[in-house]
Amino acid sequence: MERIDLLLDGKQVTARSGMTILEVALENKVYVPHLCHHPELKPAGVCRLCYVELEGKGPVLSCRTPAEAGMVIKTRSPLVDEIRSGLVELLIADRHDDCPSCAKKGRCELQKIMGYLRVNKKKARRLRFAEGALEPDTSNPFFNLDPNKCVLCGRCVRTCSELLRINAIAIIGRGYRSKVAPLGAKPIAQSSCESCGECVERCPVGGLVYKEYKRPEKHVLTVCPYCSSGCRLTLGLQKTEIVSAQGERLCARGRFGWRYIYAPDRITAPLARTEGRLVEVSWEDAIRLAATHFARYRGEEIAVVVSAKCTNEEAYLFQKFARSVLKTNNIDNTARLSHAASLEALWEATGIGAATNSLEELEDAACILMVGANTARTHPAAARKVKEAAEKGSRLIIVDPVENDFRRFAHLWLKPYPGTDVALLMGIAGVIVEEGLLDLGFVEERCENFEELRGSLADFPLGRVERLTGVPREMVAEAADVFARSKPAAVLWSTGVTQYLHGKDTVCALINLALLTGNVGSSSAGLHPLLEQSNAQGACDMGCLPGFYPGYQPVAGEGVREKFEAAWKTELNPEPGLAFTELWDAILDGRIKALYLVGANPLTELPGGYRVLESLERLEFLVFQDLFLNETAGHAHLVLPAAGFAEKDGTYTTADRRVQRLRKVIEPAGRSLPDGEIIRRIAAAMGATGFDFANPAGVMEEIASLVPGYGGIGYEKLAEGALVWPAGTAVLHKQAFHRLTSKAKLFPLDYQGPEERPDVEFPLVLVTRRNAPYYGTCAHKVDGFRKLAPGEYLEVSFKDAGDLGLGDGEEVKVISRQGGLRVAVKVTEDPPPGVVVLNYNLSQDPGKALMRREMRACAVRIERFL
Amino acid sequence: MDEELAICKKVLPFYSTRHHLIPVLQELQSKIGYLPEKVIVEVSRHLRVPASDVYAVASFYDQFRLQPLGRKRIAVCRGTACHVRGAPQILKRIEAMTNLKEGETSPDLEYTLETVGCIGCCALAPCVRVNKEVFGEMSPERVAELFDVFGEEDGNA
Ligand code: SF4
Ligand code: SF4
Ligand code: SF4
Ligand code: FES
Repeated sequence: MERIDLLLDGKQVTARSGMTILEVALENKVYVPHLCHHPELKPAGVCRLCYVELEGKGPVLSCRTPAEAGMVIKTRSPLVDEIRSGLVELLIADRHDDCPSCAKKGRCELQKIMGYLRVNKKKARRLRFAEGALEPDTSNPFFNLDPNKCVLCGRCVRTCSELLRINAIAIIGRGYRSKVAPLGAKPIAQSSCESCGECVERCPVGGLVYKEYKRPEKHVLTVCPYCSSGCRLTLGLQKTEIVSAQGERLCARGRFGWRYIYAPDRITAPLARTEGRLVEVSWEDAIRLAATHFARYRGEEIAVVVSAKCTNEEAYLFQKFARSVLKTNNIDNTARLSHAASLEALWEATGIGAATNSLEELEDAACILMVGANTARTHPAAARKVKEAAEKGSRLIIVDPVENDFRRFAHLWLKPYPGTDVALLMGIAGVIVEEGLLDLGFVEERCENFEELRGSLADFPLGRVERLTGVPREMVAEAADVFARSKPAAVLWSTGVTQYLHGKDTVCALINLALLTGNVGSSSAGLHPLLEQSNAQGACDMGCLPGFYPGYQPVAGEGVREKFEAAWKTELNPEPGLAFTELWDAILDGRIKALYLVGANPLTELPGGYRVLESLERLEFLVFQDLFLNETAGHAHLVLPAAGFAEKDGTYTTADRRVQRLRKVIEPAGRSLPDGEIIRRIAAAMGATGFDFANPAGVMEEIASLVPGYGGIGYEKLAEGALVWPAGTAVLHKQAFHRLTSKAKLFPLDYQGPEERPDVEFPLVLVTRRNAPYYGTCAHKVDGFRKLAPGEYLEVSFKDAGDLGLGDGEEVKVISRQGGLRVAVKVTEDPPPGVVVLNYNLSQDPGKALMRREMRACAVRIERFL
Repeated sequence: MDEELAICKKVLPFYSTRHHLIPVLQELQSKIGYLPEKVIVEVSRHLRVPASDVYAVASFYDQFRLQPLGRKRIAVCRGTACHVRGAPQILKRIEAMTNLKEGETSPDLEYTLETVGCIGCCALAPCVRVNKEVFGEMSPERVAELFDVFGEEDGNA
C-alpha cells in the first residue's frame, strides 16, 4: 500500500493512501471531535463536528476527506473551533444540558467534546431550548432508546444496516421531528429488531443505553455457548460477577444469553428421590448412589445421552465412561435430534464427518444454495455472511416452503411441499446431468457410484418432480442452471432438512449436487451443515455416537476396537449401540433399564410418537444432570447439578471445525460441578482407572493422541487462538477424499416422501418455525428473552383462512393424528395454500405434541371453537 | 385476499428497482388513500429495499400519508397572517377537543387533523378548512361551535 506524508498540526506524519484525514489524526493520537464517525462504519458526514483546517482550502470535513500527500492540516483553529462550538451548543440546547442525570455520563462522546471545546453550557442556554421531553422507548428489556439524548448521528442505523443487514431501524421523519425508530414508529420491541445490542455498543451518547449497566473491571476471552458459529465472547467482570459481553458482532444470545448463569432457579445441590420426592443429598451420597446403581446393569441395559453443549473434554470423558466402564455403545448426544444425520452422511461421502469449508469463505462464493435453514434465527453469524455474500453478487438459491428474512437477498426461492426436498434436489441433479452441466472431469476422477446415481436420477423426470414438490419445472431447471454455472458454489442446510424423517437422504442429495458440480475441495465452495448447539460438532467428533469411537472411527471398523482397548486398557463391547431416538422403543420393551441424561430434555424435545413419557415411567434408574430442572427431571431418581459455560474450562468446536478455549470465569453456582468433574467422581467410585486427569488440558492430551483430526491440538497453542482441525486445514479434500479409495461417494436415492400426507380428514400440512432468535441452551431462563418472545401463533394463508372462515387472531383447535393444541391464527400471505406454519420461540416446540416421528411437519385439520 | 394487498399485486409488477420507490408509493397512495404498514412491507419485499428504509422515505415527505384520512379533514392554517392572529391557540383547542395531534386521524376515521401553509384567504385570518369549506375569523370559542355543526350534520346523516 502506498504511503503518503503530510503535516498534521505541524508534525510530519505518515499515512496509508485511502485513509481519511480523521483516520490519520486519530491514528496519530490527535483527537478531532466527531460523533457520526465510527471506525467500522462508512463515513456519513452528518454531525459536521470533525472540521479541520486544510491549508489552501479552509475548513473541510475530516471524516470525508481522503488524506493526500503534502497536505498541511490544522486540527484546531479559531475558525473550526467556532463552527464546532456553535454546533455543540445547538446539541446541548437540544436536551444535553443535564449530563449528571444521564445514563451515559462519564462515557459520553459529546461530554468529551464539550470538554475539548470548553463549551459554556450557560452560554448555550441563550438558545431556545427544546420544548418538553420526548417519550423514551423502554420497550426492549435490555436497552432504552431515548430520543431526548439522541444526536441523530445515525451510527445505530448504519450498524444495523451496514454491519448486520438486519435493517430494523431508520431515521424517520424530517427536520426537527426526525428520530430513530423502526418501521411504523412502533416500540422497538415490536419491530424486526433482534436485540443484539450492537447499536447500543456504538451509540456515542445517551441515545441508546443498556438498562442495567455496570462498568467491567476486567475482561476474559471465552466462547459463546449458544450456536455452533462459536463467536468469541469477551466477558466483562466486576469483582466476581459477570456484567457484560462483547465481541466482534454478537447476536442477542451472545450479548445477553450468559445471564442464565444467574437465574434464581439453578439446581444448586444433588437431589435423590426418596419416597417419591426429590430431596437434597451430599455429593458423596449422590456419587455412591449413581455408582452402585450403574454397576447393576449389563452394557446393553443402560444408555447415556449427553448434551451437545458439553465441552470436548467432557464429551470425550462421557463416551469413555460409557464404553470402558458401563461397557456399552449406547452413547449418543443431543445433536441426534438436529444434525447427527448430516455428519454421518458427510462421513460416508467424504470420509470426514464435518463441514468441508469455513464460513469465512462464503464471501467469495458465486452461488449459495441454502436449504431448510432459518439462518437468521438459528445462526445469526452465518446469516450475516450469507447476506453479505448476496450483496456482493453471490446468487442465493433458497429452498424452503416458507419465506423468511432472506427474501430480499434471494435470487431464486423454491418452495417445495414440506418433506419433499429429496425429489426436488434429485430433479435439479437430473437436469445438471442431462444438460451436461456437470463437472465431468471431477466426477470421473474423484467420485465413485456415478452410474448408479445416474440410474436413480431416471426416476426423477421434471414432471414427477413438479407433481411431488409443487415447484414448477421451469424453476427446477433454472435452479440447476444457476447452481451449476456459478462456481464456486457453497451448500448450506440446517434442521429444516435434518429434522425430517428422511433428512439423511436429503443431506445425501445435497452432497450429490456439490460433487456433481465439482464444488468440494476448493475454497468458497463446499458443504456446510449449520449445526445448532454450541458443541454439536465436538460432541460428534468426540465419539458421543453409538456407531463411532472418537474421530468417526467406526465401532465395527477393523482394528478400531482393539486400538481403544489398548489405549484404555480394558475390554470393550463390540456391538454398535442405540441412538437417542432408538432408545424409547428399547425402554418400552424392557431392553434398556437405566438411563443417564446429561443436559437433555427428551420429554419436550422428541415428538409425541416416541412415547417418551411412558418410557421414562418404565425406567428403573434415571440420572438427570443439568443446570435447571425441567419436565424430564420430574421422572429422575437422581438429579446432579451441573456447572454452566462460564463456570468451567474446556474447548468447543465450531461447525467449521475451529477448536476454541472456553474459560472458567466464575465459580460454579451453589454446589454444582462441571460435567467433567462429576463423571470423574462417578468413574472413581466405580473403581475405574483412566479418569484421573488433573484438568481438562490433560484430557485434551489424550484426545490428541487418539483422535486423528485433533492431533497437535493442545492448550498451550489454543491460548493464542482457535485451531482448525485437521492440522489447520480450512478446505478439506483438496487433493483426495479421506476414504479408502480416495474418492467421494455419490448416492443413488429413492423418494420416500414425508411421514404424513394430508388426506380428507387431515387436509393441511403443518410445519413449525422459530420466529425469534431467542432459544437454545438456557435462553428461556433469561428474563429479557422471555419478555421478547412473541408467543405462539399459527400462520394461515388468505386462501385457507377464507375457506375455513377463520379470522385474524381467532383461537382454533389444531388436531393431528397424534394430538391437538390450541393456538391463535394469524392470516398472512406467507404460507402457500395448504400449508400452515406454527410459529414458536424460546426453547420448546409445541408442535412436537402433534407429530409422530417426523419433527417438523405433520398433517392436521383446524377446527373452530363454537 | 385483502383488498390493499390485491392493489399492490396489480401495481407492483410495473416497478422493479429502488429508484422506483417514490413513484410506486405515490401510485399506491393514490389508489389506497394512504400507505398502511402492510403495503410498505409489500413494497419492501418487491423492490428489495428494507422496510424500515421504505418507511423512512415515506415519513420524510409531506405528500405521503401513513395513516388513513378521516371523513373530515381539518386543516388549520399556519400561514404568517393566521399565525400572528392566533392559529397556535386554535390548533391547541382543536387538538384538545378531538384528542388528536397534528397529522393524526381518529380511530373511528371521523377526523384527520392537519396544518397547512397558507390557504390564501389571509384577510379572514385565522382560518380553518374542513374538507373543501373554509371557516374564517376563528377563535378558540368559535372552534367549539364548529364542532357543534359537525355533530348535527352527523345526527342528520
Ligand atoms: S439491537 Fe441489533 S437488531 Fe436491534 S436495532 Fe440495534 S443493531 Fe439493529
Ligand atoms: S441513538 Fe445514538 S447512535 Fe443512534 S442516532 Fe441517536 S445518538 Fe446516534
Ligand atoms: S449464538 Fe451464535 S451467532 Fe450468536 S453470538 Fe453466539 S455463537 Fe455468535
Ligand atoms: S465525524 Fe465527520 S461529520 Fe460526523
